[in-house]
Order: sequence, then C-alpha cells, then structure tokens
Amino acid sequence: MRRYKEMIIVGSIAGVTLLSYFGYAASIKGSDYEVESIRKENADALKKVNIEIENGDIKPTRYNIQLDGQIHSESQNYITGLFNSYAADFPADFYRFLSKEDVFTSEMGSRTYGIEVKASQLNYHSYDRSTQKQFKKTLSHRLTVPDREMADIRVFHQDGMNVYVQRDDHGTKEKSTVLLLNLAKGKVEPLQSEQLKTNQERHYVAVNDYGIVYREIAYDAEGVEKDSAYYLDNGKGIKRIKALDAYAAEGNFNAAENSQSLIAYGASDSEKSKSIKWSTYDFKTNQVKQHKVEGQHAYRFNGSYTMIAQGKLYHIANINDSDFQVTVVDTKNESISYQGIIKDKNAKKNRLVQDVTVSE
Amino acid sequence: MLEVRGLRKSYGRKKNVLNDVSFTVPLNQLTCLIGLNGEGKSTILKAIMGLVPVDAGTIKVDGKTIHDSIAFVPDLSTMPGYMSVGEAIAYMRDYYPDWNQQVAEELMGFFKLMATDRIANLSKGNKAKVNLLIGFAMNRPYLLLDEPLAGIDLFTKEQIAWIFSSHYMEGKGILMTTHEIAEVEHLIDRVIFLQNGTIIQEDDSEEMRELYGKSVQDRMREVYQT
Amino acid sequence: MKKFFMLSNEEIKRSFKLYLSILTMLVIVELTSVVYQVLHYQSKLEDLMKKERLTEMEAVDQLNGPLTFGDATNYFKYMIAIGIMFTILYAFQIWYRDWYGESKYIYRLLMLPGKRITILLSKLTTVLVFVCGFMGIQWITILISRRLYEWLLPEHLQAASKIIGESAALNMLYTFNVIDTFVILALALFVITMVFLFVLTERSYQKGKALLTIAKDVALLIVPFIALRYLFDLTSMLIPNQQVFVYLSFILIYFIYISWKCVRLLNHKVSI
Repeated sequence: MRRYKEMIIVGSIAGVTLLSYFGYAASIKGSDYEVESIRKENADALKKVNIEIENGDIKPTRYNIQLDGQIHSESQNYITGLFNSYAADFPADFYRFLSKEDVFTSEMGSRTYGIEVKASQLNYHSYDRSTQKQFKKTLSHRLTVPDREMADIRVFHQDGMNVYVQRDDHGTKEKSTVLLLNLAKGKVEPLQSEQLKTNQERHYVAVNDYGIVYREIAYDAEGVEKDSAYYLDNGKGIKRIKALDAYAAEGNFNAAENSQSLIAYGASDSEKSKSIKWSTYDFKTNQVKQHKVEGQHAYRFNGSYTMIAQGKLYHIANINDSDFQVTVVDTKNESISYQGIIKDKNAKKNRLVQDVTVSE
Repeated sequence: MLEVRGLRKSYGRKKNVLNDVSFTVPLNQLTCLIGLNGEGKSTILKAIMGLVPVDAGTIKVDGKTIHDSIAFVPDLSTMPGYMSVGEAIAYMRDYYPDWNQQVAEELMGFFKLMATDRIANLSKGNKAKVNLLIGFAMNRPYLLLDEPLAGIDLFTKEQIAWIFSSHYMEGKGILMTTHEIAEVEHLIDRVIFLQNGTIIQEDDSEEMRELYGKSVQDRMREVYQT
Repeated sequence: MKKFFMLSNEEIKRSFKLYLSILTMLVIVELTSVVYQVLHYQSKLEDLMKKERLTEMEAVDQLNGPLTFGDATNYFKYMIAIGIMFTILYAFQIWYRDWYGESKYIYRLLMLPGKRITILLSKLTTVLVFVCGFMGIQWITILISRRLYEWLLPEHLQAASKIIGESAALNMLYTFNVIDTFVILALALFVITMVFLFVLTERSYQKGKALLTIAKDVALLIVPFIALRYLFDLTSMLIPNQQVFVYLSFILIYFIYISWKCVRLLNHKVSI
C-alpha cells in the first residue's frame, strides 16, 4: 500500500469527490406523475392525447404522459440531446424531400408540409406526427417558379383533400397569392393574387363558402405595427371584419374544424382563474361570441398551454407549483369532455409543458 | 552470443549513419567498439536496445530476437533526480525479476554510495557509478556500456576499471564504447573499429597487437589518421 | 498489471506536489472570490443606500435584484479554464519531461520489460485521474461556496436558484446526469490522446516530417467531418439521427486510429 501511496491519495480525492457528486445526483428525485381523472372520456380518446412535460431544472428529464395514465420518462443527457432534432421522427424519404434546397416547409398542428414548385409541376409531401402517415402528390400547375430566396410558401388551411397555400413573392413588388392544391384532382388553382404596398403584410387564415379570410398588418417606417384587421374577400369585394377588430392585434383566430367559422383561444382576465375561454366568429351572423367553461380548479394563466385540434380545445395549466390540470373542451357543445389532474407525487417545481400531440 | 546483422540507419538527409553494420559479442569477453565522435557508436548500442529504430537489421541473442538478455548502461543518468539511490534500486528490483540485490548492495558499498543520497545531488562520477551498479545488478548475460569512463575523475575511473577485471564480469558478454582506450586496453578481448557508419575492422585484440606490433590505441590512431 | 500500477504511481508521484498545489490554489481562489463577490455586493448596496438615500429594496432594484449564486461564482469559469489549460499542458509535459528532464528517464521507461503500451496507459491514466480530481474538487468547492453564500448573505438578498446557480460553465459540467460526466471524461480522453499522438509523432520523426504527419492526422479528423457534412447537406440521404450516428461512429473510429497510432509509434518509431 505504501508503494502506491500517491496514487491512492489522488485516486481517493477523485473517487470520493466524484462519488459525492454522483450520490447527490442520484438523490435528486424527479417527478413521479400520475393522472387523476375527474371527468372521463372514452378510453380510446384518452390514449390519443400525449402531453410532453420537461423539467427546466437540474437533471433534465422528459415526461410523456398519456391521459389514460401511461407515463414514460426519459432523462436527457448530452447523447440524447444529439438525437433530439425536430426531424428525428421523420421518415427518411420525407426528410430527404424537405432537405432539398427549393422545398418550402411549413407546419400546421401535427402536420409538416413540404412544397416544391418546378416548371409545370408542384410536388407536395406531408407528414402527420400523430398518425405517422405521409402523403405525396405531384400536381400540375401554370405558375411561375418562385425564387427560393425571394419567396415564401406556407400551408395555412387544410380541408380534407383541399390544401390552401399562401405564396408571398418579395421583390420590387410584394405579391401575396392564395393557391388551392386539389390533392384529389392533382391540380393547383390560384384563388387570389394581390399586390401589396410596402410595409404591408398579409396572413391568410381560412377559405370557406364565404370567401377567403385574411389578416392584414400595416407597419410604420420604423417597422412597428400600426394597424391590423381581418378581411373577407368573397370574390365580389373585400370587406373588413369589424367584429374582429378588437382581436386583430393578437391575431389568434384560425379556421375552426368545420371551416365555416373562426376560433381563437382566449386570455384570462386574471393571473388565476377557473374559466377556460375561447371565442368564435360566425360568418353568418358576423358576430364574435365568447365562450367559457369552468374547470374544477383555478389555474395559473402564465405558462398555460392551449391547443385547438379536431374541434376540441386542449388546455393544460398549473394549478399549483407542480400539478397540472388538463381540460379537453368540446367547442361545439361548449362542454368539458375530459378533465383531469396530472399530479406529481414528489411535488417538483419548474415543469413546463413542451408539446401536446393528439393522434387521430 | 549477441549477434548484430545488417544494421542500417539514416536520419533524414543524413544517409547511412549506420551502413550494414554486423558484428558479434561473445560471452565471457569484453568487446570494445571504437570510433571517433559521431561515427555511430552510441547509435549502435541504442539500436540494440530498441531505443532508436533502425531501417534494417537484426539483433539476436543465441539465435533469438530478444532484448531480455541485455542490460544497457548509458552515459547519462536515467533515474529521476528526486529518487534516492535506495529508491532507484528498489524501483529496479520491482521491475526486474532477475534483479540481484546482493550485487546491488555490494557495489553500493564498494562505490561508497549511501541509500539516502538523492540522485539529483550526486556528482557525475557518482551518477555513473549508480548506472553501472544498476547495469550489473540487472543480472543479464550481456551488458552494453556507453562511455562508462567519460568525464569522471581518476579515482572513479580506477574503481570502474577494477569492476571490469572482477568476478562481476564472469559469465558476461560486454560491449563497450569508450575513448579512454589506454585505461582499459589490458582488459579488452575484442576490438571493433567503426568509421562512417561502417565496420572497418573486427579482431581479437591480442591478435591485432601481434599482427601490427602496436597497442590497440596506436592501431586506432593509425586507422583514423589515414 | 503490476507494472501499470507501478508506472502510474510513479507518474502521479512526480507531479503529486504540483497537482495538490494547483488544486489547493484553485479552491482558495474560488472560495475567496465568492466571499469577495458577496461582500462587494453588500458594500455596493450600502453605498447606494447612503448616497442616494434609498431604502434597501430600492437599492436592490437598482443593482438589478438580489445577488444570484451565479454572480457570486462568476470567477469560477476562469478557474475552470485554468484547470483545462493545465491539463492540456500537463499532457505534453508528462512526456517531454522524460526526454528533457534533469535525467533521461525515457531511456529507463523504454527499456523496462513488458509491453510499451503500459507506459502509454499509465500516463493516460494519470492525466485522467487528475481531470477526475479537478471535477470532484470543483463540485465540493461549489457546495462549500453555496454554504458561504447562504451564510454571508442575508436571505432576502439571495436569489433563489438551483444548487449550482446559473453559471453556464458549471451547468455544462454538472448536469446531475452520470452519463454526461462520462461524456465529458470521454471528451477529455480524446483530447489527451490527441496530445499524446502529437508528442509521440514529434519524438518519432524529424521536424519537417513530424509537422507534416501531425497535419495529416489533424486533416484526417477535420476533412472527413466536413466531407460528411457536405454530403449530408447535399444528398440528405440520412435523417438527422442517422447522421449523428455516423458522426459519432466516425469519431470512435478516429479515436481507435489515434490510439493504435500512439501504440505503434511508441513500439516502433519513437527515438531517444
């Protein structure tokens, strides 16, 4: 032993101190979640909802919680971090398509879209994370081929096999175009094309029987937003939707599931509330209606997560430092179809909802 | 028998530092490798020990390619300065299973070295003694000595020279390089002359003296002056 | 195995005092810096309250809030940088001292019975053990600093934070995930092995050829990496996870190559 005195001393310093660190790390308890349902939907529906929670604290861990009570936790380290790209779950051929230089990529809900415009041919490829299904189609068109540097193409609305795309061409003149990709027929149809003024921006929101709905924003010389409003172009004329003027600055309205109305999730009046609010705009009545349901517990508005998908509103928010209330609202019936608490037995703080996916 | 065959070595632009060097070192004989400075004498010893890679050549002991039968005593200190003589001996004893502790202690006494003397504080002569002590205590049949008498006082030279005629040499084949020919002339059994990386003469020293009617030193002068 | 332990102990012994001195110095400097930061903050607070006739709350507001533990340990990143620098320099020195030290210990090492790879492994182990010691002592220093911070600073002047605070350097080293510690040590092992390769290459060849060989080995790391990156960008034939797998595999293969090369140089090329 004396012969190895120095090695033993240095080794012990390293060993004991590092073991103390490992011991401390092991003693850090992560969250121990369980799902407590207050109001239940059918079991199949619950399985489809996956909530991803991450701790923003030491010992990063990701928790995937399904409302039927299945919980998977995965500790994050440098190695797993390398494999956490946004495209991690994409099928290889979809990823290859998206990686092409002239493909425009956009996302809507759980779907990622890739659109490639070539002379007389448009290649469309989409992938839905929740169903893990792809869809590919080549459509014919008579459009000009966009300059990748000077154009943007994004999907803003999908109604079955009809995909509505906004194309913006930035050049000496700004132009905004709405295209309908008819996936069934394999054709591209321009619906509207408008030259915009400088300092003007347009976001298309929905296309329905009433026309094309968009939000237009005007900026001043310094680039500060000075005015925004929703408009409806019914083919005969353009009308400002005054009922939505109060909501235009936030710009939260999107097409509802039936496409015949718009829907937006609402803000709370106070830091803590039991009310879950949303608004709808009805094209028929030209009126905005406020809706709310009352949850079981008061939730904290800051850090709450809201998503609207398949006609339902998914709302997850903290009811205290460590527990979350999950509410699924049927927006058509204005009723709560599910409410539950994701309870952390270890009462850990600093947890964030990262993502919610709803499979079909 | 230690056999060196076809050693070749070049350093970059310096070609043929060793040019097809071949010789033998028999047991129970002291072979002296002689040459002027820079002829490659030390390079040969280091090459035998694998301290310097060679371009070609083989080194065999009794027909086997092995270094475990050879001990090397270089011309400089190789033990860390912070070690004492006792610690250096203990270090070598730990690594070499054939280590002869009795020889080490005897030579330590003969050279009047103290186990507690720090190597860094020893004179050049005493460092040379430590090297030699280690070389002999390693208890290997072949011993390579690189300038064992260089730069040390007369008394130390005499002590070291005495070792070469003592029982410590029994059963050993020695290959030595030295410029101090006169000090060890009477001990040398075989002579190898090296010039420009080539062996120019290899002979029994007695036969050489008879043949040329000169001492080895005089013969050396003759060889290197022509 | 015995030779490995003996050689490792010898290497550690040679740098024992230096290592302990540096460790002690780093700890003292870090703890002193924490005390300094806390006292300095309190002094600034008092000055503000006196000069501008503010309440303590107002003065705290002016100083952008309470003193965070990250602020208190602000100098730690410099100490960590010094530790890293020391380690890299030591990785060079652990070889060169055998050639250029007061004695030519390299003769003794290369002539030792047994395989020369033991020499390489003992030096590698020594540097890695030193790295582990740095990491471990830094952790203990964080804990002591935390106690100091909480003891010296009144509670209302402390900002709530996790145990290692907000320092980016500390958060990178201490994620409380054991796998990350091994990733950091693996990275250290890679860097140290590269340094060893440079040294052994320099010791094996003439200057010009040595430089070229080192340049070639560095290029063997960088060029394929860039080529792979370019290939993946151009063809997108692999999805990101697969790309990461390829990169990691390449790094592993490269590591095996440089390790093999170190052993080969030590066995056949190194010259005293």
